[in-house]
Amino acid sequence: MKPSQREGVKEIMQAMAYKDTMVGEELERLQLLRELFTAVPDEELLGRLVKQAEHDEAFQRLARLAREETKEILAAEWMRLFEGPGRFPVVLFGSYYLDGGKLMESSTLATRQFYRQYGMEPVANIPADHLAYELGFLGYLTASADMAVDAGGREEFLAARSEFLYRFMLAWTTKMVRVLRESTTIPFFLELGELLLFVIQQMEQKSM
Amino acid sequence: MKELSRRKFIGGSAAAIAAVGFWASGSYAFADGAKKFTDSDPEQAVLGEEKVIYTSDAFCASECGLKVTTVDGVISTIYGNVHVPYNAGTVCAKGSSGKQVVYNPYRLKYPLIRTGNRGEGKFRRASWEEAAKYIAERLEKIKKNYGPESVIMDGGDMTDQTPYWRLFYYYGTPNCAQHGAICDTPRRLGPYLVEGGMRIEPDLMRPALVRQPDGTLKNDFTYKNKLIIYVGWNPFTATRINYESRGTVAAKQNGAKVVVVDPAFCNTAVHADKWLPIRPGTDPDLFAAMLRYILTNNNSSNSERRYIDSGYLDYSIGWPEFETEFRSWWDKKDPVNNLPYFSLEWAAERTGLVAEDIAELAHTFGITKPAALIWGMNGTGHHFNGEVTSVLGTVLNVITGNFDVPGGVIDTALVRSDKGGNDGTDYIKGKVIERVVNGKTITGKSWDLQLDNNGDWPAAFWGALGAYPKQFKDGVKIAYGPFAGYTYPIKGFFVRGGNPAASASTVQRWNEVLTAKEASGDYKTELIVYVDTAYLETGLYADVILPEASYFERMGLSDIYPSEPVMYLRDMVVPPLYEAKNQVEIMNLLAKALHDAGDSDIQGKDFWDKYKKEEDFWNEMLRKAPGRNNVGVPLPYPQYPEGYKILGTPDSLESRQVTIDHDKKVVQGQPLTAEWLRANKGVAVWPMAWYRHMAKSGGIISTKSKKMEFHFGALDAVNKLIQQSGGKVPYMLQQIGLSQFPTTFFWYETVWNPYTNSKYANYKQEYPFQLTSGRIHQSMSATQYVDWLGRISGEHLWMPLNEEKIVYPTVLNEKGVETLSGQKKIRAGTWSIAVIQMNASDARKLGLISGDLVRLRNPMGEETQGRIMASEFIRPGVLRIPPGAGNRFTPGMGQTYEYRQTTPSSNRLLDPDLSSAITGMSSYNDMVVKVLKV
Repeated sequence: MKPSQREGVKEIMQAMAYKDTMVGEELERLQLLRELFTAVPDEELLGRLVKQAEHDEAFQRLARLAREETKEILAAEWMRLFEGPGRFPVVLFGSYYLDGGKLMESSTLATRQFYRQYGMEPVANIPADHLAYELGFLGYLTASADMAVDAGGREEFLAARSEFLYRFMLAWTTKMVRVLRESTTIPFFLELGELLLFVIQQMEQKSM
Repeated sequence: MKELSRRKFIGGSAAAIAAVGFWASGSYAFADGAKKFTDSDPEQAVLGEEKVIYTSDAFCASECGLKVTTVDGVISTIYGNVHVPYNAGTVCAKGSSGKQVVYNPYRLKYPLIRTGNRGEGKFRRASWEEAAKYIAERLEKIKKNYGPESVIMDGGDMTDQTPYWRLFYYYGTPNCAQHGAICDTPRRLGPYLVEGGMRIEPDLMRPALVRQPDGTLKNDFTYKNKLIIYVGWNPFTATRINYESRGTVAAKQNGAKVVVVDPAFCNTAVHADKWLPIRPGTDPDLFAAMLRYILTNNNSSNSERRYIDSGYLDYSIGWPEFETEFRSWWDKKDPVNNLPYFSLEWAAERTGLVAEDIAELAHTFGITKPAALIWGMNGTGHHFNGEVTSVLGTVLNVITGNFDVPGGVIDTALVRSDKGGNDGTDYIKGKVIERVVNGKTITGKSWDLQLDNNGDWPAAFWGALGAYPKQFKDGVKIAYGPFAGYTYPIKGFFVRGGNPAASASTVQRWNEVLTAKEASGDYKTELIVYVDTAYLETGLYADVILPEASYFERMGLSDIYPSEPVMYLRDMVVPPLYEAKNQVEIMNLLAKALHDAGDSDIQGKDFWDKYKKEEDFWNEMLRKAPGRNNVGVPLPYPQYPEGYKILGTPDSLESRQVTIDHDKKVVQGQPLTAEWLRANKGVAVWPMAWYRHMAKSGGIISTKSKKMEFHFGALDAVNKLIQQSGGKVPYMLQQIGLSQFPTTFFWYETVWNPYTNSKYANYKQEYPFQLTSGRIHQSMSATQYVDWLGRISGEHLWMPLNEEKIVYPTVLNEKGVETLSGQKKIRAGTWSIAVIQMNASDARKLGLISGDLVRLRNPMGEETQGRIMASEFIRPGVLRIPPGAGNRFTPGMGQTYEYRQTTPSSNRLLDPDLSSAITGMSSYNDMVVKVLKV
């Protein structure tokens, strides 16, 4: 992954001075998870994981487990689990779990419709219910709530976040993590699944 | 929808950008991120919009015209395009499953570079730039060390490989191949030699656009056929010719009789008036007996015996020579049965049919006009002696007056629209090169290094892809042409849309050559690139995998086997998902990488500057359409001179917006473009005519003499080349006892057939079954990666006979590969798999029932394993297996992969050293086996 492509996030975080706030931590968590589910973790990303763990207890175990594996094993297992080529075990698209093993079905369209209600449209040529998009959208709603000019706006965004988690993300990520548990013995990836559930379930509780 | 205003909820603009920024940022896979709408964003206006796009299928090479609806940019429905006469609104299960190709979770998404050994299937994700640079640098190294001819480009089994051929011809290799080479070249040989064509089909494509006496054009839906004989040809299950299944039913309803000659009671036989269960590999025996019967019993003054229409003598040459040679066999006795060649008794003995049935078939074919004698791609074209069959079949249709008459047969290759020109063939044929041969510097053309035509297969007009493992292993030895004596190794293999590792006749050898190493430990084949949407077996061996846009995500042209010129567009229905690219983009990207790596043969003017958009490439091809002469009855364009070449859109030709060049004899209308096709339901149809071969002013016959040739000028020319180069007899000709290519009637026996070839007679007892393949349209090399198609059963070849299976996930950890406890059960009988079709009485004798697992062993000791389907629908002594469908060892095949141990690969049991003598086609249907219960 090219460092320059991450600059945007960093700058945003700094400009918003979110680093030490609760919202800032949530966004950092989402961003990190999102990248861990997007491509093979490289050294730069694993370095950021270590940094995250320094101030975020939830990520400490994952950071430790990452150190226990070689880079090659992490890379090979990531490809085997999430990308293939071929019939890989863990599909990261929501509709695979919600629409009987198919992509771009009604749940994908419903997800996209939900994004659109908030003025967002994914334009990369990847179905809109990829886990990384959904995590990004959670971050967007979180940041939007935080920046809302009045309490009504904030409530509206939090309610949207809760609805999105309930209707879409939790419905399939729990299934996905169950498959992940059965598909790997490498502790890093088992923990990655548990951490994902922990982070989004915690957000759901906060939204309530 | 909630009425949310962004301004209301989000503070100042910097914060708004920041929130959006979070969403949009991320790794390169999501580099494009997302964009936000504004109220005036035009995309807001198209939300929920329904769009109709006319395109064409390419999941198989049938390429049916399709009408696809997208809702909000997502494919919603797939129907046949009613405006394309080839399929006239119909579409098969495979065609309508296209959504599951595009939105398949397991499709190839990103460029990949190998990290493990070849065959292991371990890869890492790479950027396009890195992958292109990797490929270009290795191609340049090969070019420098061995010459560009050391690279083979295999365009695979789709027809829009043209951009890849262009790239590799400009790179400098003359060795661009495609699937046609292993499809049915023996079936095409007869039409090729006699009329310069390729595919004889019955006149069944309806509607036909016909010029009326009042000058208007009207769609004609009438069927004029009276008799159709299908020999080893199964349009209801196996064919790629869409109109033949519905056309056969319609013609039958209109009074036509249908006869099916096939060892299996196939789905076409179900619709037939008569089924003749012939012994495999004896189709030419039947045709030769029919021809002898017709020549013997023809009586022009007796309407009950007027078989021959002597009009063909006006537009053909060499008939007396052909007939004399054919008759010269009549007094010889066949050593197998001591009967005179081509007599009814001789044919009955060999084919297993009754002599009276053969006589009746010959007589009925002779007196019924119009009639069509059709021989198959799979059934006859895959036999070693399919070349003999196709010559005799062509002759029978021509001398009985059924060629290009209404209701007769049409050589579709001679009447289809032109779409050629920019694949770089002209460039490579004209490129002057030097090579040092035996110490002397020789000047010639790049084309003179072509591995087939200057090597083992000088007469292979479509290449000899099936024999390539030999060239990988031993290198290419140029035997003919200016470079005779030159040798070079094969060092690069670029395969797109093909899968020789599972579907060739020599799968073991492909594995062997693609993984062979030098003493140094380096792979002998220095570069293997695999380009496709699906991850098939050949991909396992690749150094680099490039994800190609699926057929709904790219453009192309279709003009498959129509009776009149038709051209339809493959259009982009949705933009490519993930990082897949279309073939023009891949061509340009690799061309630029080669240029940057120092290849001076590759210039922007021929690639990225010339074809700035995908559409530019296809528009250049469309300028040649339809490119057919104004000939036949009724004359397609009575307003223009007869015999002139017609170019341009149908509407401009009708409205006389043309220029006429009387010197060149060309009528040029407005050039056809993709834009015109989009505005006209995706298709251009030009008028139909018949009797197009009779035109004195330049008909459709494409032989050098412009007449039908019963003395084969094409093979004369090859013999001349061989003589000029020292006279080395190609090794396969030696095998069948010939010293040069035959230039008129010829006869040789098929291989591995103990019933017709005395060389193999001693295998009859120990290996009592003839092994043939039966093509199932929805279970081909790539199709089962759409799970839906895996569930559909077909013709006792592809049946839900799967065993219950717990799918164990396998994981990689620090200890290596570890198998985990079960997670998924596939219930028995729920999933169709490739099976071995066996006659029920044979099964009873062997104590077998459907579902039993057996091993098949051939005389060379090769084995494959599969389940028996005991069936009344196959001739005793014959086993049928779908080709390339079992033993699928790539995880890219989905659930079919789980049954790789219990599904048979007939491809493993074939004789890799025997390819058809003239065309170099693998002998997919010639083997004997014994059955061993597991």
